[in-house]
Order: sequence, then structure tokens, then C-alpha cells
Amino acid sequence: MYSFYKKFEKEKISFAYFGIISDTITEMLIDLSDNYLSKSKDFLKFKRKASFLIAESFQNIIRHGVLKKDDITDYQYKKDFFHISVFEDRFIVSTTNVLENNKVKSLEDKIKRINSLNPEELKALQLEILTDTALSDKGGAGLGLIEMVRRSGLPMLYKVIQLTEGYSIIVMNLEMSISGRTENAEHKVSIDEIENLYRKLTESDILLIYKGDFSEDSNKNLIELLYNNFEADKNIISNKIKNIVSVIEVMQNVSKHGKQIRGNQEGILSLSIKNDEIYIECSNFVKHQDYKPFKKRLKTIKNSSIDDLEKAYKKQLKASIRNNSKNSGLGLLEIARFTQNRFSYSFVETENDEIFFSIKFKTI
Amino acid sequence: MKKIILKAHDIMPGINLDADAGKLEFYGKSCPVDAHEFYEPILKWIDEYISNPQKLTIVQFYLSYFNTVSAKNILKIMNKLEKLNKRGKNVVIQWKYNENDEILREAGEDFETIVEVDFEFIEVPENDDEGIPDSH
Repeated sequence: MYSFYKKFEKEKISFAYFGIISDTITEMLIDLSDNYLSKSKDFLKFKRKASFLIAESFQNIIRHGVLKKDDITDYQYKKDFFHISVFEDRFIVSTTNVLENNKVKSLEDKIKRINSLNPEELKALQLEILTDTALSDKGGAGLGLIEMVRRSGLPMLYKVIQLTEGYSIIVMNLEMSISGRTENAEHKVSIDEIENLYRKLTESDILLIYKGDFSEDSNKNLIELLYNNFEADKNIISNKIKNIVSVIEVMQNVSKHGKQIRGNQEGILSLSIKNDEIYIECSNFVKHQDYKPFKKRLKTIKNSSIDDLEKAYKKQLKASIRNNSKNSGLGLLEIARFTQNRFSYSFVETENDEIFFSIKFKTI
Repeated sequence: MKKIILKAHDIMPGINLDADAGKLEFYGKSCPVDAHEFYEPILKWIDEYISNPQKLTIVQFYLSYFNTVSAKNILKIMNKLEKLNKRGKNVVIQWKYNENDEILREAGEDFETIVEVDFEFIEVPENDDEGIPDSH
């Protein structure tokens, strides 16, 4: 997990997701980015642009991604992928979706043409196509692509990777600079980097990864998103509520006890799937003074029987009500109870003398 | 004519169509996956309305963002209103947007260049972020 944290270190928010893209998911992701972008005055200006960009990118996947992927054997390729990154001065949306090989050339031609136009030409083309398609009702004229490039202010980066004789995947990357369109604007992230991330996440069986702020507003959006995914995958998940509660506990653990990084309750959360089992992993930095007592407490919990955990939970619950204490330690006991004590944890002492804590459990 | 009242939720827009008052309102976010299906009954309602319109029709858009498929449908609505306007019936499109939201203002200006209907641009203070129309 630390390697992923390092990969995303410079990003204020990084969110990558393989899964079902729907109206509800789109709304949650826009809320997630909105929450963060609203925090900084510098970001306010492009908050709305970011919403347009996310909505249009997802619409593009929903409308043009291949729905029937039966002849694609790799599980991950059956899922659409997108990634949102917020840097100090950039907002980036990347998507990857499967398309039929016979549609590749026409899509590439459209992207090449759109990328070659200046802002005025793009606007004129958009209005022309909008007028034309509203009258004729035809689709696929590239209106969405134009909208994405116009909002972004930079050409769209893309790469087509052939999967089979029938299908390819297309990786698209759109960047928006906080300073707006400038003559010398350059992309911060290359299309190869996006492809590498896509491959690395695929190899690690990760379906969802979020690095960023774990304040309550952000947590709310993430929890809703996970809840929707668990709901959609009924065959895999049998006990949704317990799983969700466990996720809430690990996330609140970061927001309450994590060490602040650059003024944020920063952490990283992933959901991965291996052999039809879903794993949740959550990591954050811990304060040096908390390290030893925290490690000791985890060891005690891990060595407890299920009965002892139940007793300890009830005792702790009563004590927390009496003391009205925020730091009750109930969260860890709750995770241990719900996972039948099948969780693992690790501490990494980093090169900067920081302590990076991870907790991982299998959903039930 | 029956009113159409749809509440905004998720990324579906709120819509109030009131033939008696000659007022058509669209607010919130508009990014439905199948925008054509969503807007079809709205377009039919407008067809019926323009066959027996009020002397003055006020159409208010107060959207925080919309996708291109919605943009097409917004333009279809405006095209119908343009026809009404050409028949000598008064139509005003009120395009509301939050202050400093250049994107939304620009989007309204784009529509203004395409259709021959009077546009009023109304800037709303930033804290009024819910996109709720005047009548609510």
C-alpha cells in the first residue's frame, strides 16, 4: 500500500475505480471532487469545469463503452476504469474503456481533428454540431469529445491497446490547469503513466483506490460509493451492513487518529478482489507518540478470542458512554468483531522517519 | 393542461412546467444517462403548450452543469420556443447562473447565438447554490 501512497504522494486527491458507471456513481464522484475543490479559493474557479469534465467523461463511457464483453476473458477488462487526480495546480480525469476494433479508426480521427483545433474553432464546431444533431437527433458526432477538450483547455491524450481480434481498450487523459489555457500549457501526466497505473492496479486486483482527505464529507461520499458497489455485486457480498460498518470504522480511524499531512487527515483506502473475495485496506500515518501504544493494542486485540472481543467491546462501549470519550478504541474492536478477528496490519517506518500504518481485512 | 413537476435528484434536473402561468423551469444538474428518454415527455408537453400558449412565456434555466446529450435537448426546447416567438408570441429565456460561474454564462451565450429568442442573463449570489427556481 505504501508504494501506491508514494505514487500518489503529490496528488491532493487521487481516486481510481474499476466498476459500474451510473448516474448515482457520477453524482458521488462529482460531490467528492466538489467537496475538495470548494476548500480552496484557487480551485473554486474550476470546480464547475471539473464537474462538466467528469460528467462528460463518464457519459462517454456509458454511451460508447461496449456493454457485452463476453469474449473478453480478463475480469478487469470487463470493467470500465476511471481516475481523478487533483494536484496543486491541475485537475485530471482519465478513463479507460473497451471498444470494438472497427470503431477505433473513426474515434481516433475525431480525436486528432479536435486536438488540432484552436479554442475558437472548437467552439464554432461545437455549436455547428449541436445545431445539426439537435435537428437530426443523430449521435456519435463527437460533441462529447469537443466538450471535454473545450473544458480541459488542453488536447486530449489517448492510447489504443488492442486486446483481442474484436476489442481494444482506449485510455484517455484530460487535464485542466488552474491557470487556465495558456500557450505553453503542457500535460503534467503522460498517457503512459496513466496506462501504467491502470496496469499496476489491474495486477494488484484493485477495484477502487482513494488517496486523499478522510474528513467526514469525503468519507460520506466514499461510503455511499462502496455501498452502491456492494449492493450491485450481490453474489460476492453476503453481509453488506457489517462490511460497510467495518469500512466506516477504518475510515473514521484515519479521520480521528491519523497524523495530519499538509493540514488534511490524509489516508489511502483500497478495495481489491481476489478469488471472488473482497479485501479492504486502509492506511495512514500515525504520530510517533501513538505508535507503541497503538501497536500494543492491536496485538492484544489480534490475540483475543471472539468471546473476549465481544466482552471487551461491551465493556469499552459502557466505558465510552460514561467517559464521553472520543478516543474509545471501539472502532478497532468493531472491525475485529465483524471480521471474526481476520484482519492483518503492518507498520512501515519510512525514509522520512514517519510511521505508515495499514490495516487489511477480508469482507464477509 | 396538466402541470409537470419533477423534483431534482442526483444528476436529474428538476422541472416545473405550468401552462396556466406560462412558466417553464429547469434547475439542478442534468446528466441523465438517457437524456433523450428523459426529455421526450417534456418536449411533447411543450409541443402541446405551443399550440395554445400564454401571451408571455417565461422559460427559466438554472442548471449547475449538464452533459452534451442534455445540451441537445435544451436546444430542442429552445428551437420549439423560437418557433413560438416567430409566431409573434412573447418568449423570454431567463438563463440563471451563479456569480463567477463563467462556464454556465458562456454555455447560455452559446445557446443565445443559435436561437432567436430574447435571453435575460441573471447572476445569482454564490451562496444560493441549490439551483432552486424562483417559484420554490
